[in-house]
Amino acid sequence: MNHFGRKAADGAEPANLKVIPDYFQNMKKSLILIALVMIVGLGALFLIPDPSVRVLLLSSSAPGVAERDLRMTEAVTRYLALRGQERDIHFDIVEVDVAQSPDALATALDEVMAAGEPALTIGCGDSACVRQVIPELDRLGLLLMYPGSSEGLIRSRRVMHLGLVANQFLFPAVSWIRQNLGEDILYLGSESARSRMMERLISRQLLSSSGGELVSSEYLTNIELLPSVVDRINVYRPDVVLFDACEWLPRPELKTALEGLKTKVFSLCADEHLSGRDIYYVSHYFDHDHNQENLQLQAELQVPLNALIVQATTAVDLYLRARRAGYTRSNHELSTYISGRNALTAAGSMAVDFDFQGVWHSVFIVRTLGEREHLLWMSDSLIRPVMFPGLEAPSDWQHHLTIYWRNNGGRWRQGSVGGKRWL
Amino acid sequence: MTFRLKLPDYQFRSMKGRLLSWMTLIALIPVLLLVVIGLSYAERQLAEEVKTEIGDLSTRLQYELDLLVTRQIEEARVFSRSPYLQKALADFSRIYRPDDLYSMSYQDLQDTYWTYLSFFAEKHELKDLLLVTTAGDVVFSAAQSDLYGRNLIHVDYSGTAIRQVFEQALWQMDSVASVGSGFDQKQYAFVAAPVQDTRLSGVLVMIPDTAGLAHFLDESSNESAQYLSVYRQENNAVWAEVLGSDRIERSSVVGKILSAAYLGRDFSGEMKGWGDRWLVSVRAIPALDGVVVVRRERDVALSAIIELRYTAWGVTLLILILSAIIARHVALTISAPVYELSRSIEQIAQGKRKVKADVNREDEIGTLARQFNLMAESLRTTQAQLLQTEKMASIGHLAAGVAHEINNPMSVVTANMNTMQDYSGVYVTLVDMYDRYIRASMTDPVAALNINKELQSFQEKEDIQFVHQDMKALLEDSLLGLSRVKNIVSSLKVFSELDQSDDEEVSLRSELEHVMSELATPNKDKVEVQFQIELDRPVRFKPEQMRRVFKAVIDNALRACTDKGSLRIRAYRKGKGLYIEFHDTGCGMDDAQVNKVFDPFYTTRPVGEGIGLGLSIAHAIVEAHGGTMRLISRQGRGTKVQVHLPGR
Repeated sequence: MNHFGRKAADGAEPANLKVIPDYFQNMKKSLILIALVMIVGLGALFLIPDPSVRVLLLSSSAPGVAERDLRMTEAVTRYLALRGQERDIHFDIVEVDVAQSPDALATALDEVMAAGEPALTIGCGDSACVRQVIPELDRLGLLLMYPGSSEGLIRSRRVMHLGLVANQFLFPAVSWIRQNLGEDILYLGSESARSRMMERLISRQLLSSSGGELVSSEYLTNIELLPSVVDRINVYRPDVVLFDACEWLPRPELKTALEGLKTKVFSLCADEHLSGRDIYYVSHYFDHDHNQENLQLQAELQVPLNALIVQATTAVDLYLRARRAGYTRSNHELSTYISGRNALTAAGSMAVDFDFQGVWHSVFIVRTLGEREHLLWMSDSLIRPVMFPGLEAPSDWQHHLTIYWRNNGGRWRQGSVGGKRWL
Repeated sequence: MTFRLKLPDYQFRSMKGRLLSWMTLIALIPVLLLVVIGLSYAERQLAEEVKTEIGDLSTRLQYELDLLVTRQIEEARVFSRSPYLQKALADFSRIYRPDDLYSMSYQDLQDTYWTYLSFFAEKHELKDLLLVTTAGDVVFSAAQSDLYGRNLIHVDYSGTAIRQVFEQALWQMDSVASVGSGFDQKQYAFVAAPVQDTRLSGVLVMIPDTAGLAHFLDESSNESAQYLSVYRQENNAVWAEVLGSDRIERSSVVGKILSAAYLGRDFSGEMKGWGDRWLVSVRAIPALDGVVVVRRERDVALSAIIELRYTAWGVTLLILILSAIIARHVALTISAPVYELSRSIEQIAQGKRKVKADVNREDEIGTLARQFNLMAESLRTTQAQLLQTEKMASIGHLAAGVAHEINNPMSVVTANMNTMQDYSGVYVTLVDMYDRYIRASMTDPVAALNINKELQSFQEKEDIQFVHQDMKALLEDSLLGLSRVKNIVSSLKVFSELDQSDDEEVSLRSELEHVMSELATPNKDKVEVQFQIELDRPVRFKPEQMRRVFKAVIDNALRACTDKGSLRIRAYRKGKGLYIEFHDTGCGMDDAQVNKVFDPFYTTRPVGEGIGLGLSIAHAIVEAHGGTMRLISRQGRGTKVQVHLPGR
């Protein structure tokens, strides 16, 4: 054996050379093994993709809101795909329909959890949907990024209100209406907790404290009643109809009916805009040509934007920021990170309130004339969100909601679900 | 057309240099990588840590500032609900007269309410507490400020913060805070809450004192070289520091960052501003309608790394020096014995016999050295044997030559002696006859006549005349031969006297001229002799012997120039050696002659003109001086003889 443990070419053993000991042979094997392990490890590190991110989308298939929620979920899905492609993240999207019985909803969510806890939960297009899922959120420890507006009467650390709450849109709107459109206000809502509570805020607080009162309050329970409602409105002849039956927006009959009114219409549906001949609305989203974020989002999604879609995509952005900062190991971490965050969105500047009551927003009052929109008023600065505004305590508001719910057979909205659990 | 970059091929002149360079490089590369990459990484990590730290601080600051405002809002909200305040507002509203602000009724109410309301304001660190009617009239001021009696709806207050907060309170939001667009250094916010029971009766406006905020900012800034500031927009052109004097143009780089942060793009990173480089975190504070800036001087924040950098470079330098020292030592341990071996080999190549590599090691180099020494010993032995053999061969050759050269004339002498011996017999007989004749002529004329006839017959028979002449020739030949033998013997004596006599310092030119003068070469006067002595000092050799050399060479050169010719004698020093060149333009020699020219007894001259030992002796003398003698010749063109004497 020569110096390297191999025989010389002629088979002769050179004199005075030592044979390679066995341990060197083993060391060579060990080194090869270590090298192989390192190669496999590095390959695993670079080739094995990161685990996918589970996203839970909550929406409702209930009549009147299904289309709205569908547009939202489609937009969010597309947005997730775009962002996922950019950042090489695979989003595993799961959709759950909230429009089912509480038991069925619980079962559906349990199935989702069994497959893996969602890192991000977005959804619900209105506060009624939120109320239905809050028990499950508490039970499962999820954080719901709720992109819609609400009457501001929900207290839960499980819900982050990304949309407007009542004090942000209702209070300035009523004040502006009284200054600019007239004192005679007729409220037109739907058979829902939101409408009922908003009406209470307007009539019992905003107007009564200044000696005013609503001309009337009308509630759309079904579309067949719309003509009679219109007739009554025309009889009352208010200065302005304060429209808040947001779940009826998709119905073409409604648009026709409102255009037939001989009075001004001011929509409180901040999430979806009521287009028409001459409609006023309040929102935190205004299609501003100078807002680059707005233009970019429009180009990416290729769909008409509204406040609901904008805030849903904002929820995704906030999650991605938290992920980049390493705060997505749990929903609690996510909520901790998002609390107090500032953001520049398609709806403009916003800041998440530290108390988790909502999000500071700029508010706009806009008038649509056909296809054109005119900005009539804009808040000087971001408006702080305040839950349970007015003189009544949260328990008082819960009491009113309970009464309403009971009186309506436990329905949160027209044609909605029944159930045992309520808020 | 292709372009090829050819890098210079650098060769190390010594193994020591090669080892030193490579070992230093091997030590240098990881150290440099460690220092450069390590320091860069550490600096980046520390910078990220600091940015995270100040980011967290700015988040906390935002929270606490929001909390500060929230607390004030809550205080306003709660206080606005109190029946006491509602009654106070109702009372002041009732008696308010713009044209009689300090009426008796007012003063009575002051007495009633001022104590508590001013106490409340002081306890909650308020600069002022105002009660305002829904019409905008300020009906009470706890600080009795100029605001009392003013109307906030008046055009003078258009766009002001206090007007804004008043209007928002009228929205019946629980409470609001506003900082407005144009701010006063004396306050940073206005807090308002609607005062209402069943009806909205007015607005409570609280103006917090800036001392609270200043105290808060001071407390939050607990590090040197760290600054906490709140900025708000002033006139849409400038970011102005709240409770400070700093002003930043919105169009500047810093201003743009502040503007972006105000819109929602929080900033955390490094920026140049305030006359230095900073690690900065900027966040919007909606509660104050501004931005909070936390900044820390970069050099101070990274001072640990900067100091570490100096230490690291110092350590790097130390490692490099140590590496160089160790590398040099290692290189020496390898190169020194190799150098010793190469030197020994060089000595052997130079002809030295007693060479021994002084390397005592147990490793491969030591084995090599021992093998080398064995080889050198064997070489010495072999060389000695070869020398002995050569010597014997030379001696044999010389002896043969000598024997041949002596034998020839001695043969002639011997033959002549034999003949002369015969002739001496004739002369003896002749002398004897002449002696008998002379004696006979004196005593016996007849006998004398007979002896005379015998004498004449003998002379005729022996041809005495021929014997006389031949005897003379024989004697001359014999003397000539003996003379040649004498010359050969005296020349051979030179070989035995080579190591005798000492070196002397002489003038080369003088020696050459002396030799020229002594030469008796026949055509000496026909040959042009040129001296080109390029020496600046005398030379040192054995003059007696070197004259023989010069004599032999010059004599040959002169004889070679049979017709008109020239001889150039050039002498110069090159390095440590002395070179003497004899260049003649004679007939030259062919290669066969050149190869034999230094052989003893080789000559091209006719017999009797030379014994052929001149160049052989000259070669031996030069070799004995430690030098070399070379001869280059071209037939028909001339011959050049170069004598090299090292160290002369």
